[in-house]
Amino acid sequence: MTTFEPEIVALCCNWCSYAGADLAGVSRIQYPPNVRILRVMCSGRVEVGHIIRALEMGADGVLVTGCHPGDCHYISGNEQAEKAIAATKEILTVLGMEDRLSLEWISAAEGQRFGQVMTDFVERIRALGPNPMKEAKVSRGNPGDVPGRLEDLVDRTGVMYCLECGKCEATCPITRMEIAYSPMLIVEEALRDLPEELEADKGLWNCITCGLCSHRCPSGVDFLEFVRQAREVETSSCDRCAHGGVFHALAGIMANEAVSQPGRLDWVEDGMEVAEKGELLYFTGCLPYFEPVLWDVDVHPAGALGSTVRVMNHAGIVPVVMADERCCGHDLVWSGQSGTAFAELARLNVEAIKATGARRVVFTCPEGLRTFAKDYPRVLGEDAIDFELLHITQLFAELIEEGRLELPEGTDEAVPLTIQDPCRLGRHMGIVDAPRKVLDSLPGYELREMEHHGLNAHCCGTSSWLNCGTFSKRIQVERMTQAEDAGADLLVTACPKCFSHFNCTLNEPGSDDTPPKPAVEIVDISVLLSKTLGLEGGGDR
Amino acid sequence: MTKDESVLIIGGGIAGFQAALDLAAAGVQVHMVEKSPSIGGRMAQLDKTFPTNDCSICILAPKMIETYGHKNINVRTYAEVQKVSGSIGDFQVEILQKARFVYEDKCTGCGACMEKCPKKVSSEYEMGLADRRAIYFPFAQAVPRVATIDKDACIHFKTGKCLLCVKECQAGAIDHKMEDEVITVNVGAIIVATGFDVYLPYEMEEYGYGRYENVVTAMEFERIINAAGPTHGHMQRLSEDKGRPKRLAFIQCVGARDVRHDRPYCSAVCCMHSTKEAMLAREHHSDTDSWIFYTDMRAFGKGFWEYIERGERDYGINYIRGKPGEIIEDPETKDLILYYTDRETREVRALEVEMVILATALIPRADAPEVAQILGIEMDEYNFFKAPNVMMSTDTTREGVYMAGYCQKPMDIPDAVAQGSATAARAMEAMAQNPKGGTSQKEVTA
Repeated sequence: MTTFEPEIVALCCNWCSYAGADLAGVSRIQYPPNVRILRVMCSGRVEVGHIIRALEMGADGVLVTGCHPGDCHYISGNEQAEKAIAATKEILTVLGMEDRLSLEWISAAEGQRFGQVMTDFVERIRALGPNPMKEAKVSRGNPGDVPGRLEDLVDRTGVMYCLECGKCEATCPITRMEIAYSPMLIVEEALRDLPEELEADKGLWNCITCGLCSHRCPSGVDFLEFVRQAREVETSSCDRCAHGGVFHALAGIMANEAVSQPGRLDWVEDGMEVAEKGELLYFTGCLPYFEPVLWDVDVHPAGALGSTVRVMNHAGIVPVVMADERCCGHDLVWSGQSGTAFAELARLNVEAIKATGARRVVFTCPEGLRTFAKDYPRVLGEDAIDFELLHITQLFAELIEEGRLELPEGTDEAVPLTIQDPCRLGRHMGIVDAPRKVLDSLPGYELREMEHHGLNAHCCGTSSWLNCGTFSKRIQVERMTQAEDAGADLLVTACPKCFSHFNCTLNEPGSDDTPPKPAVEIVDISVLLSKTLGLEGGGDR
Repeated sequence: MTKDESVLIIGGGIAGFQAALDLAAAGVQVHMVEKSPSIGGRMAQLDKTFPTNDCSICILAPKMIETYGHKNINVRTYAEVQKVSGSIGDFQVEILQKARFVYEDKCTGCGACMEKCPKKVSSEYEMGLADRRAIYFPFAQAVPRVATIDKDACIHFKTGKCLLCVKECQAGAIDHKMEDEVITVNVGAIIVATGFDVYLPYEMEEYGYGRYENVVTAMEFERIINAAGPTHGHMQRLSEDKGRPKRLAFIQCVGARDVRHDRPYCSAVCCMHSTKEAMLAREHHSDTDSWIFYTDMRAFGKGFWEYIERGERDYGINYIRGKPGEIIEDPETKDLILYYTDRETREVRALEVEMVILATALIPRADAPEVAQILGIEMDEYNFFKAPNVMMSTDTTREGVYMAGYCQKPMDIPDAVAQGSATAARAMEAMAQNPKGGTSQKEVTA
């Protein structure tokens, strides 16, 4: 005997199924009262993020309904919906929640069918049982207990030492495009203790936290830390989140211990050797989720996972990969949404890692590395991380140095390439040599540095899945043009996010008057190394 | 005070000269020890001095000659203090007289040797912008005008051959077998006036020093506009075109007032010397335009603010509050693009100029810790020598050891001169109160 009454969110197209619901109503067709209908103008409007956020908020099931194929009022909206729902199902498969989502076609004339679909879906969800998120004990959002007052923040981040020299403004890639934004002005607002102004200043959210201003500030103002904390002081919302806030919602979901991820290791292919316990652990980060979220921009960064493991196996390393690994929480930290979720993510990840006995943890994503190194100790205590943290390029550089990778002979013709230093790896963590050591040792390639490189590098245009807009696109085009100007055919990335952002811009359809895109190919460093070692099977380079 | 009391002065720059001349005039015997082959110091490198735009070497050279020629002053160039013992009124000082391989009393200063010397090395005096020979005068007005052989560069010391200079020298003054000597002197007080170094901002990648040819330090620019400098007074770019720069940008506080590079202090002279250099550039060619990017305008001295106003009014200098974020070089033209914010409109602007002059931090000399250790005095956190308290600003932390000029803290020439006089007075006071010391004048050669 169960008392479980499912809560269903139905996202119904205005032109067909929403009218179908009306027809069901006037026809007095009975269906269970568990469904909350939200009208959308087209099923094609439904984003991955809407569904994931509904599930994060505790919906037991999400039903999307649209016009029958060929009937769309916007010609192809329902075809878009089909793709989006398929991608969302991929994400939900990782989380073991794929049965909680359904897409149905219901026309305005099908009142009867509307009732039937609703009844069937409610019963299906009833049989599944409640969404584990119903019992969620932690949530993302404004943490509340961090400094509520700006003076504290001013003290802690050294912004009171600002000399107003303006070097940050003249450095900031955003200020260069948007004069309303200035790191210095934000600091001034905080110094003058004007919390309302600071809150109203959209600039606080425009910052891409690349850290170039902090790196150059003669007064040593920790602007990065200032922005991070100021965002936590201010009202948090996911208004600025890109991709419908799906990554932030996924973080919110994973922060709950009750949520498992049965499909997290589906990327592991036959022939790859991985372990559950061992010395070295490979922290994959959000990579298993990336491609379905980015389905609409045709970006494929997940190849880095397999390539990394193949290179490790080649060197005789069998890495630990964890089915219960969770989001590192980076995007919550930088969007002012740490809430109670971030500390919980930190705790769950560190406990899971300790249970594997790993002494070294390797990251593909520099954001994860930074979060473990600098943000976890903040919430877990300074001694919480007693294992070594490494970026994948550091491990590769070490393996190359020790002669554990058999690099083939070089060819006469060297392909020119350049490297994008990720902000989190370079300025946040101070690691700039490792990727260069790897690239320098690759036969058949020649490293050509861009004007801005190393600690002076320019950002890929966006971070933390926030604020992706025209500025980001312009920064990305500019950065890729710099790579082109350096004479590089390949722009190598050491961060899956840089990889995705650049490719997204390259893939964007332009109009006739769009200037030609920079002629560079974006390639992940792990994939490049794996290809060079001949591990990718059929790789042309 | 008896007549045979004596004082050691370390450093033959303008502060040291003033102290030496004051003491000598009062009848005190002075031993001046200068590390390089010539006295003169930093002031000898400057083109003009602010705020009067006097020719620097013209007002310095008489002091150099007077110091060197004074009967009460014994100047030792190419020498270093290597050990100090004793206490106030009675210090024993070991001086290492490095072998210059040329007899000071024989060399006539004709310069024939250096015309023949085949080995060129970069000139310290010209900030590396020109070459000197292995046998050389550091600069034209060097005092003493005696050649010195740079042992590290000289071909003879590497191959045992060459000796072209010996062949050329009609005075027979050159002797490659000369050896270092250690001399001990007994003095009642010590004055340290070792000056400063210029910070070279290679690590500040945003300004491209070392990477872009036309980005120079202020001291380099000082040589470029100097009539006796590497370009013979022609204002020239360092890029291959050697073009005359018509648009100059000066960036203030490079590596100074900068906690990121552990130098939060102000170098005290840069607002003025950048203005001076911009004025001189306009005097060289009236179609030169200058922009000075400053953090705060620190024109605090007498006549300083008027100088800035004159720069703006009479020389058309553009003063812009704020530091550029970065400099990018146009690889074709070698011109430089500065990004800065316009404070009125808050727009980030790009300014294209033909040369950038960085007012880099002036820093304690690299060997300051060594000097401090030899003298047994303390330094502050930046390696400037430390005064025990604000009321004893020319005293060090060791009794009987005094300091003057930039080795203590950032200051301009008049302040360094005033400190020179102040230390002379302090040294005489020390000897008057501790009369047992300083009785032996005799030099003992070890």
